[in-house]
Amino acid sequence: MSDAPTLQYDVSVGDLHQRIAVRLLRTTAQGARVYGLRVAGGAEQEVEVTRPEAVVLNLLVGDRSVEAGAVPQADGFLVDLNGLNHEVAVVDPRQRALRQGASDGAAAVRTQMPGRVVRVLVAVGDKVEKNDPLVVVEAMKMENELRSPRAGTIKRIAVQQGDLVEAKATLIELG
Amino acid sequence: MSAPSPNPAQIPAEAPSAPRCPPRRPIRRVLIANRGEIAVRVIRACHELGIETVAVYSEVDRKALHVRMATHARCIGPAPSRESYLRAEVVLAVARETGADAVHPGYGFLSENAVFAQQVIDAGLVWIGPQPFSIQAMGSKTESRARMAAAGVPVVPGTTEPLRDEAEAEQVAAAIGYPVMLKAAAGGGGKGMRRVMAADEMASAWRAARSEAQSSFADDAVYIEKLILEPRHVEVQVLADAHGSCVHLFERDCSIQRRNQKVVEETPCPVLSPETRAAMTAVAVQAAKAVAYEGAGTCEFLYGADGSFYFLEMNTRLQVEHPITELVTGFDLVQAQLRIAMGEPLWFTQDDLQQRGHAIELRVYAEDPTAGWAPSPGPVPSYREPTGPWVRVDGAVYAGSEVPIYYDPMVAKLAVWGVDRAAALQRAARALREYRVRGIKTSIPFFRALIQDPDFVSGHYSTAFLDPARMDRLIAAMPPAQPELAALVGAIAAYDRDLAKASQPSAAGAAGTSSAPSASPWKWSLR
Repeated sequence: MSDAPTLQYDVSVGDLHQRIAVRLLRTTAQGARVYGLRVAGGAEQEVEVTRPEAVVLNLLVGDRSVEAGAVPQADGFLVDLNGLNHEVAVVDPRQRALRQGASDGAAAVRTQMPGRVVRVLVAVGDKVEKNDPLVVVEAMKMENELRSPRAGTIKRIAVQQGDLVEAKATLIELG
Repeated sequence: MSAPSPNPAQIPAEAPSAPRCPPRRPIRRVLIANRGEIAVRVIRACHELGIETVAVYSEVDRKALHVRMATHARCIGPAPSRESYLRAEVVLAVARETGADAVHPGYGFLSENAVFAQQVIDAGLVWIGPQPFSIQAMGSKTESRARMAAAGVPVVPGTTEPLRDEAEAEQVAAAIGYPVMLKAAAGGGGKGMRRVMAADEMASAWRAARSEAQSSFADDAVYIEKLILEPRHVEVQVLADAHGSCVHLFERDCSIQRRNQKVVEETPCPVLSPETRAAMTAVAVQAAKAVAYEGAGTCEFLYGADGSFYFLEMNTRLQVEHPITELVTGFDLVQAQLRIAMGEPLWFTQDDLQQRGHAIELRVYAEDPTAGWAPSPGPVPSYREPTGPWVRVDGAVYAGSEVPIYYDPMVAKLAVWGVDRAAALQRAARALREYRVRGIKTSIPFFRALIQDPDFVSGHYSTAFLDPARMDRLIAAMPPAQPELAALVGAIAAYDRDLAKASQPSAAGAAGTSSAPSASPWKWSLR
């Protein structure tokens, strides 16, 4: 087990952005895995983890028992702690380099909730201002308007009226 | 599917003069024309009574819990409700084809559709609900209020006809007593409405209401209603058989609402005096009898801070919040619906019913309180319900289920019982702390703040409780975020994912999964 690699991740939770290095240290006699975690180059701390369910982790941090859900999402995990959900974006630094090369400053407008596209309010080439409504998505009988995060030109529209979209799906790219 | 009945259902216009007194008729197989938690609730009652069940489901509900639990199941169309759960003729045809001898509508969908009820009866099936006449009589708010007023039931005093002039407005206001509300006859959405707290405010309020009504609706007609200050929404559960007997099962306080949707309910109402309870429950029975009611129904009242109460409307079906009544009375309302539908006379009297202890229900909505209550449907890969002493969850979510985007966002109801209100609140806090719905966001963390709110704890609240300022306070008082810890969990989960991918270089391709092997550059470096 000692030959397990150390992997680094850029992790974002709201305003918190941290680079975290993870390595698997050992597996205990009870089958729990012990990880070494180093946040932003600090001292390594040990955390013992079991997986009672595929998307559930039980962490022992010292004597403290923490149950956490970690449901995979498009850009990371939906992590619940004490019943409260946290959107955790996880990027590994090498991927970020690849991605940044591919996109040339375009902004993706994503939907936070899955649903059905009720209306597309813009066309490719349209100039929009910040907060202009772009797309209306409906779920559970509620309509939500997606607004432009900044001024720009519509470069690509990835959906049309009636499409079903997943959470975090890119609907529009803004140039 | 057979064609819909060529003859439109005929619903009698007047209440029958005598009880129906139908012969006893066993029910062997019930079709449940609903989905979600209420379909599951009805299935449970049926199976307890040895009755088979037919689930109907839309194309996205194939994996739904009610389909898994029922003894029979049939798909009735595409996901949108109007193409499946609302198609009366398809539901009716499936009932005939699957050999069902009765239909339970649950709540919502077809439950208050008098025409559908009549069609069920005309098809020779048992309708588990009130007679179509009663549904119709209580169906329109204005019509039912007029009918109730005629039967001597208190309704909010006022005029329903437009007022001629200011003089008449002053005269009516003096007669019903200030404060009053002027309302645009063509109105809605708060436009053309003016509070008038005392006589000296009438002149300016009258002018303002009229001109706003004119500019908003091109109609300056205005009528007047008594203003109920800080009202509570209190409702009374009734149960009536087809032989003329009717009892009540006490009240439920449903004042905690968001956008006119109930969020939290409790029983007993924490501020109702025994005298008012006696008066209100008597009025509810009187209202039910006035429309020859059969089965389970609910009379809703506005309850004013001064102790006055007024009839609002009657819901001619099982209510979402019925479990709290079951918890304090020990009485199964859905079983009762079934037995009454089988023609059984009430097997108990009013004196046999008691309110014991205190019960609270919290409605779990798939909505994100921190994002303007945006809907949060989606897969639920992990789910843990609170259990233990005196905790009840009516839900249809399980680990591996999915909350579809097409239907109501309410996914479960958490109901708790305690020997008194304080004990019930403690139990609710414990149950909420235990509850985990993973993969989607819910109102559960919001409730953990709400049940600690001093005004809620004191029991002194009104329908205005969840005003914008309090909403902000409660959202701020939710269990605190732990971003540092969440980041560690995210990093560990990502590490496990990438390590698993790296150790199975061919698995992703061989299994045909959508996650491309190239998704992680670590795979190459670890080879």
